[in-house]
Amino acid sequence: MVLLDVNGVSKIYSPRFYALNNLSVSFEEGSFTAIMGSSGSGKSTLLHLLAGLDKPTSGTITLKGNEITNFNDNQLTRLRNEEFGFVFQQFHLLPVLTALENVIIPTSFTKHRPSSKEITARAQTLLERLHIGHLAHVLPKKLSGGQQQRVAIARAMINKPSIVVADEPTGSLDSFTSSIVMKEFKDLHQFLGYTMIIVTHDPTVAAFADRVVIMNDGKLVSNLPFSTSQSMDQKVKTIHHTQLQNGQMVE
Amino acid sequence: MNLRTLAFRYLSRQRLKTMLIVISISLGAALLSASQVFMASIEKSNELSIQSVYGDVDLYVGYQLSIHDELRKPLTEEDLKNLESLTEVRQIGTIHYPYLGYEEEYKMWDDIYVGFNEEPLAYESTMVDIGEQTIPAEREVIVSRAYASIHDVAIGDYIDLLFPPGEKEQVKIVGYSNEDREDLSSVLLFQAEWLQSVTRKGPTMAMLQLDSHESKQSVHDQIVQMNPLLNVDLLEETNDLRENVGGLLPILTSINIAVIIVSGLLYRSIMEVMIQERNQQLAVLRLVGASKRNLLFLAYNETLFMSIVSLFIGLVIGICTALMILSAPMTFADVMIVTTEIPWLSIGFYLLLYVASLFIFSVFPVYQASNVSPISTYQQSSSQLTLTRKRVRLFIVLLVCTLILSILSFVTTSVWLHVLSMFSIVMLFFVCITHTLRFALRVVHSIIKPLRHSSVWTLAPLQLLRHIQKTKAIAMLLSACIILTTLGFTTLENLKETSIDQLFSLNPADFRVTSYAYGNYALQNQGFSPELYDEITLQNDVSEPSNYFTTPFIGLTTNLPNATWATEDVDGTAQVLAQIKGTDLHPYLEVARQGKTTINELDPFDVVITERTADALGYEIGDQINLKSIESDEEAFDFSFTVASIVSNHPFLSNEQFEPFDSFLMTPKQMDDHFAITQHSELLLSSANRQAEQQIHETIESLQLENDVHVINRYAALEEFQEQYNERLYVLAFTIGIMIVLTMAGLFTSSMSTFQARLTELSILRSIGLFHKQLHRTLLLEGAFLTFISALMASVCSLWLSMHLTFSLQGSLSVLPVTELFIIIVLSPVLGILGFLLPTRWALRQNILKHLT
Ligand SMILES: Nc1ncnc2c1ncn2[C@@H]1O[C@H](COP(=O)(O)OP(=O)(O)OP(=O)(O)O)[C@@H](O)[C@H]1O
Ligand SMILES: [Mg+2]
Repeated sequence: MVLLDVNGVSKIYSPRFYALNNLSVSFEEGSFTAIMGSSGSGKSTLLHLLAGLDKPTSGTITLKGNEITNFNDNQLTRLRNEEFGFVFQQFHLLPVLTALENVIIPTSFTKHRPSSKEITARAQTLLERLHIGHLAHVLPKKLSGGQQQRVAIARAMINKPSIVVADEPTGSLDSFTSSIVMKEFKDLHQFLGYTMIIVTHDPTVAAFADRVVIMNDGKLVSNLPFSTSQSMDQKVKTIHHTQLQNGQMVE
Repeated sequence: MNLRTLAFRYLSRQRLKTMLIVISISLGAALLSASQVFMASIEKSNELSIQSVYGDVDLYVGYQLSIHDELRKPLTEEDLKNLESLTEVRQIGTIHYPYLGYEEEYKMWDDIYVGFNEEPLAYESTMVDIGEQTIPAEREVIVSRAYASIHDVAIGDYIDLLFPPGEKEQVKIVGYSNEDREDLSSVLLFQAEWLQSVTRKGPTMAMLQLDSHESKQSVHDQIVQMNPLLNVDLLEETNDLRENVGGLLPILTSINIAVIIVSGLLYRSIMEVMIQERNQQLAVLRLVGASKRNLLFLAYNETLFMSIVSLFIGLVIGICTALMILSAPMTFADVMIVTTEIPWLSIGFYLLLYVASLFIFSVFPVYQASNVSPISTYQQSSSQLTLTRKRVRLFIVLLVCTLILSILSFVTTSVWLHVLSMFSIVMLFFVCITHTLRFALRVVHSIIKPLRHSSVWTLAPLQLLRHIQKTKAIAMLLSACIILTTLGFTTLENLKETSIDQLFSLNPADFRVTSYAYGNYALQNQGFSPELYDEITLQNDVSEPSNYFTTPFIGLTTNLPNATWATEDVDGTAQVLAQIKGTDLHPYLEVARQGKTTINELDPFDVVITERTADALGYEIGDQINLKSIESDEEAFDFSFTVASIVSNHPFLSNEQFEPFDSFLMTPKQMDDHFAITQHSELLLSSANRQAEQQIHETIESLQLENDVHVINRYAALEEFQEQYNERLYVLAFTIGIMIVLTMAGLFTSSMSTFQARLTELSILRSIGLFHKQLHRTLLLEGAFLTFISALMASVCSLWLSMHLTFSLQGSLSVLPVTELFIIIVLSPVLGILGFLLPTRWALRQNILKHLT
């Protein structure tokens, strides 16, 4: 079933400059998509639009059959709170809150809030699942980059969102930590069934996904679905190959 | 976890910052509480001293309050009921004074019989001072010890007293009144009912205690309207005593308002800085689902927490400090502080106002906080303050309106327009401060650039431009301080000017020599020898204009054309008491408005009058003035003079005693011819030398006149005034001190957080080879530029405002604080450097490496 559908979307920042150009793409429920493309190709812009952070100049975006392009600020706020989980390159944790409190914070804005005991338990479970349960009461400045990113992932999951979007979640991490974080993502996707959309430059990161879409100049240039039988190495090779075909730099 | 907890986390996990903020806010709260305690204690002490003299009574009411009141009627039951029913009256008591006005008739000159009923107010009467004793019963009396010793009687004795027109009555002495009260020596205190039964019906008057002495006038008006025959004694003497203290109130109130405004601005600047810092965190919150309302709530919760804690700390510190200071024996505004009072209600009111101002002033930054867009998580720079076309248009409209208003108010001299202009100028200043600041910084930068190639100098204004929001917050705070102090100073200077003008119009010449018997005893005034004037004017230090006045001839004018000022009306003609004085008419005639212009033209029966006199009494050139001598024992004789000249009003000729008209004037020769008066009674002497008094005294002594005349030096009066003025100036200086502290607090918090945000950048500068010293200088220069430019802008605004203020107070432009503002501008960089010093030290002590990775 299509969960999120992007239909003929354009985003124009300055006259004659199309950050996105009549782009259409859809995301199945329970899918794991990686968006790739050279710098400036419009990946982040696309992510912002589909999460309702910004409005397209033209075109429509529908989530579960609702056209979110027409939502007002309050509706968008609810949407971000309940339907989306966000992870960024910079972890953006609140420095004054402990890891656990950072995870819990999105629930403060939820309309029908479960009891705080239940929430704390849920947050603690998430942290344990991400293998940082013992760091629950530590302030962010005392955590490593990978640990901070895992707190951010837990924060994105706490409200059981329909979709988790991540913009270069491994961009600030070394390759070893990257792979650990990506494994966590994959786990959450496989065992909890979250729909994931990840923007990345790194083919080894993209290889964790079920599908890779590649963008160039605000347009979708290729759509690579992977079968479950493909190994990671095969996937990476396919990605490299497609990138070369599209004349993109390999990083 | 809810939002309140988040707000609390921000406070508790950034303790240093929270502490700084709490200290800055509690400073204001402490000041407000302390000033209220001061004011209340001074007022209470004053009230106690007034009550010890006048009793706790506000009004006396009766048909007959003094010997002079014709209507000798007692107050009726109905009168008393009516008085008691007035809403502002708290308590009522009665006095019976049976022989008031009958002293002559009944030969009751020696003793004063008064009667009181046993009621609380009786003990407040100034005629009752009997310690623990109670009001006597029937046939009992309390007398003074003086009475007892004169009549050789004592407590317990029965004495016979006369109660005319009735018979003798036997009464028992039951007590003495307070020995120290000499004025009670002749007072015999009875029970009112009984005293009425043996003399005449009473009571003669009622004492009224009001809920507040402020309603005296309104109660008076109600009583007079109720029954115009009733006389009311407002105890005006107490008003003066209260006014003395009351004069402090407006000063203290203005200081409090200034403190509230400046603290509000300080808090605003702190909030602005804080929200800037948290921009990204707020965006993240928005991203994970916080609504605008949630962010508003968050920011206001912090304000609430902080203000409650600060208020409490400020309250405790303020009250304790005030009580500590007041516990030392001291006199303030002529009041001995004998008691302390904590006026919880007014403290509460001011603190409420304070919190309200904190909330109101933080509306803008808090609103800004709630408006952070979730997408700005991705954007590093958050300064979106661009000069939109809308803003430019607003600026131009405001500027043009203000200029038009300003010019209009100067042309029409309407006070309301001046006030409106001032309001408009303040609006213009604060609405456009960012853009003006930006413009000023650019100008400074472009001036410095070609002069100093060193990066240190050119970097500072650029950095300030980059952090324009924080720069603006501090500039607003500092500007408010400068504007408020300038306005305070201008007001004070204007008051000084008018007071000195008044003082000088009362004493038109620098020195005045008068005979002792001046004033009420003018009739017996023999004056002094004219030789004195001749001798004194020979002295070099006495200069023009100086003049002499002879002893006056005082008479009644009997043919007044205008009877407005007539005072005597014995035989049906309008009469007024007037005097003729001889003087050197030459300088006045020279500039005469009408009539003869030289002394030689004057006929023997000519007089000269001033325009003021002509206006008041209605005489014109050529009119006859008939004067009748008032010497009753001698044979009354009449004079008739002709108005020969009307001269303009000269300060030397104005006559305080005969307001609103002046003496008639003639030459000394005429005075001699008509009234045989040759002696002088007043000399008005001008001298540029304030020490000329010494020479004048020497001349007086050489003529052996020291027992006949005294010298009034207007500079002595001036000095006395100066002292009062200085007391106010100290209060103002104190306020300036507070404001400097508040500004420093603002500078400190803002620079601290700016530097914290710039640690990485500073580390990069260090790592690429900028010396520690250079960096130190750049940062301090930022502070210096910031305060300098703010002071410059604020000074222009202040000067403009003071001009309007001065004109609306009808002052002269010479009071404009130009020099003071110049000093402020010159010294302002020091303030910036001092405020930035500690944060700079802190920033440069941080580890470079830590902030590079
Ligand atoms: N707010 C904005 N205003 C103007 N132009 C913008 C804005 N945001 C993005 N752009 C432009 O739109 C284009 C796409 O930007 P986007 O951030 O989506 O690229 P990206 O694919 O995420 O690049 P990168 O891999 O470097 O993150 C870029 O050329 C960028 O300059
Ligand atoms: Mg991007």
